[in-house]
Amino acid sequence: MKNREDYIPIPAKVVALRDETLDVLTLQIKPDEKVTFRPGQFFLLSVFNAGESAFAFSNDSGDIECSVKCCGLNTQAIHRLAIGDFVGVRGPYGNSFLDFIKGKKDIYLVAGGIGTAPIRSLLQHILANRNKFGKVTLLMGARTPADLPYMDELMALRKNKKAKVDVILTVDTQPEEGWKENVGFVPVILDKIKPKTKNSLVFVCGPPIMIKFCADTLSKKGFKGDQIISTLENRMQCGIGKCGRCNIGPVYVCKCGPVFTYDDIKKMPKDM
Amino acid sequence: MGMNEEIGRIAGDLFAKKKIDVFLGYCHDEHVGARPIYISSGDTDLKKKIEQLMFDEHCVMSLPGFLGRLRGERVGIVAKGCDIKCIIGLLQEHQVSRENLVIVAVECDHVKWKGEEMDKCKYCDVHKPDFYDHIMKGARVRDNVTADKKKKIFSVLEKYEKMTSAEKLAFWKKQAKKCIRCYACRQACPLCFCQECAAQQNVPKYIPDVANENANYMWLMNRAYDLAGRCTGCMECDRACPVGIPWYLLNRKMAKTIAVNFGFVSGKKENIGKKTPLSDWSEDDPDKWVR
Amino acid sequence: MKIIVDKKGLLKFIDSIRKKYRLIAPVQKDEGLFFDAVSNTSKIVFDYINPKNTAKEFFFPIKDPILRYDSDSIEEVKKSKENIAIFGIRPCDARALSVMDKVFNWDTKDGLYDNRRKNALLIGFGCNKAGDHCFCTSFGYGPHESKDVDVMVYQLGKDEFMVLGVSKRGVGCVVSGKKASPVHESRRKELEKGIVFKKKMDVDKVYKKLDTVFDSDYWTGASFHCIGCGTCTFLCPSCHCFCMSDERNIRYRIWDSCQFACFTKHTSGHNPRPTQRERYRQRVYHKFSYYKKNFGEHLCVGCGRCTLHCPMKVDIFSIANGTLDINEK
Repeated sequence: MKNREDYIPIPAKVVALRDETLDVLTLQIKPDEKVTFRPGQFFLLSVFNAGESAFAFSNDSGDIECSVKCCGLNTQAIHRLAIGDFVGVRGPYGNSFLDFIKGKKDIYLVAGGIGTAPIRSLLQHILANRNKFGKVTLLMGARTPADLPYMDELMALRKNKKAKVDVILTVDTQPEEGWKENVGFVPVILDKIKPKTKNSLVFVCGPPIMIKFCADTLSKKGFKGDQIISTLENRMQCGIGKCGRCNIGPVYVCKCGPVFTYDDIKKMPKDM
Repeated sequence: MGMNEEIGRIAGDLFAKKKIDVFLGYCHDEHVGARPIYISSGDTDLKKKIEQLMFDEHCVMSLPGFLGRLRGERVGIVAKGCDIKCIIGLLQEHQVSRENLVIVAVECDHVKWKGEEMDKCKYCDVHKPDFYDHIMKGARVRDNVTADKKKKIFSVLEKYEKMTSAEKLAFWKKQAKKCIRCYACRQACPLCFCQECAAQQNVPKYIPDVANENANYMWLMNRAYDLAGRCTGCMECDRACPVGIPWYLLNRKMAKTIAVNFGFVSGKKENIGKKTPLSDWSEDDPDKWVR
Repeated sequence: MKIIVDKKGLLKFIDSIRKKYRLIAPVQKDEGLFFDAVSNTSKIVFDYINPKNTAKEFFFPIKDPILRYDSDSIEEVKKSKENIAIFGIRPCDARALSVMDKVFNWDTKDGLYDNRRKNALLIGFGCNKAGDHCFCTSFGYGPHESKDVDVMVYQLGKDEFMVLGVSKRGVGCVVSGKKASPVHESRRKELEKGIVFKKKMDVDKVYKKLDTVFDSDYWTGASFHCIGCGTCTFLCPSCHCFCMSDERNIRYRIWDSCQFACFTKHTSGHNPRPTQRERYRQRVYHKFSYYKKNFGEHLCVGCGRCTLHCPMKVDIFSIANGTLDINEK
């Protein structure tokens, strides 16, 4: 992809929209120029007249997909987009989950709420290269069943014997009716499924507090800091280390991250 | 004892009797002359900090603006007459509770900024304040400006009021062009305490954040309106502005308009318990401009 | 070439520059001394410590249009081809530009900034006295540093100036005149030696100390009187944090400040730097620690403007220096 150094986005069109939950929308965007990206990276989506915001790629190839929660000015504008609308894309920026995988490993994918988006990107990559990975477990949690994204895909994945992915779901508290999966916070369920440390990596994405408790749980089970991999997010504007906003200590999330090991995270000053 | 030692004695006494959690005052600084100092009851060097307390003509910075950060804590605060007017404004608008406040008032002749006496000091009617818990008597402090000299308080408007409407608009547009949207005016103002400023609001974006003439003009007028009937003329915004926008002129004009039309002047202790004119209404409100 | 000129000769030289460049120089306005466009060289002020604003706004403008958009297309705003010359830039402001070059070219090149840097001629003006808050010498350079400009001017006497070309382009500008002698150079050295600085910081000691005091209670009281405006940031020659804003079909890059409350606020409402304590601490660390870790140089250049113009007299020098007294238990 041409190196866009002057903050000029690539023109793109919205080709598909899907409501994942009440406030999360998944968009499929086709840029005018091909954009190749890797799981864990992010890009900046422009809705002209609103602004630009950073989102993780939630797929691993082809047209860009991202999942957006409706919050402020930019995300509200994104939620008003229609198929065929004109948007802009800048990226990909940042490092990738794949930078941390060396050799054939057993993979645990742990995702909470909207943190599932980058995990989905890694999951798609794993499915496309299944024999390069060992045992794969996906643990996903949200506050309520209605807040769980990508449910259709995950149910299909569970039924897909060839994929060999163990799909575990949980919600924070017992819902009113019909819920047959787990109930409990993600770190608690993570503990229950007894992850094995040998030759494995755990990718955790979600709210900071969930990451902290998961990392504590995993450390107690003997996981080393470089076996636990997460993404950090901070408010971003430029994506290329110049606007001075996303740093935690001397580390800029956009340039040195957004993917970090738990060892990296522990070294950072408490500025997050 | 001199004023400095007296302030220190009171602060020490308040801490010892556990009557306050925080003391806000001024201390001498070798590089900047004088600066605000924050003393907490938990400070390991409490005694040393108390000994540094002082007050002189370099203590131009207003301290009541910091009270918002200390909500819930009991605060002792050194205050000049102009600062006390702001404290009264904060009390009136329920931003501070009286029981949590110990006002250590100082008699003040004048304060200086960048070597010059502040304009507000020439027409000050609170050199010797009348609302406080403790009063520090000052030497050579001029008397409060009296009622017959009060006209002078708005003398800054004399030249301005002679302008036509078109000239005034051109004047403010010219000022707006200088603005760099640093928000020093807002942050320095003890009465600008909105949790989310209109200028920061995104949804909707009332005031564009780009520093262009029209957006800046909106910012100037927004602040003038939000402060009308509340601004005490402490002049902090004017002093803080790095590009010399005449905030004092703008806010005094609004204050005069409110005084003339609603008979209300901010900063008087009788105002505590009452509402500010633009946050209340009555059937006898003037309405001659309603056509 | 090093030449000696009188005031008249200097103004003539500046006028010759004006033929090829749009001239910016320090001029007196109602609100103080500012760098501004000059059409009449007689308006240029020569007796000053530093203008209130900095040279950075000519390379990193307060609002910089990047692109135009409408409902189905975007168009890049064409980069300016204008050549500007800045006369009267002090070594600290010039050093700040060289320091900022590093972040604006960190892996990706910022064309908006680089283009303006390429098209500008910097005519530095050495200092013969220090301001109350100047501490440039703490950063390994001094008030007569010429490395960061194209042409350097020193005032040797009431009506005597030394002008020398430094960069290739600068040397091309200083082509004729009375040659300077070793006597002039020793006069210059004498003037530089005679400058008295009230402030001096051991920046290496502070840099090391900052690694260990991030969580100290020191930060609560030290910068309590910071009100969180953007004055220090906007008047700083090396502060470069920015934001994008879409306004009426144009996307602008605009100045932003880490001192503003919502600088790091996530749209979810979470703010990693919720109070002024964390925000001011970030300023000190960015200036005296982080930038050096990433680029090998400090982001502060010791010009003193932040302290001189801060409404609450927050002194970054004292606060950074004060960390050396923190007793880590």
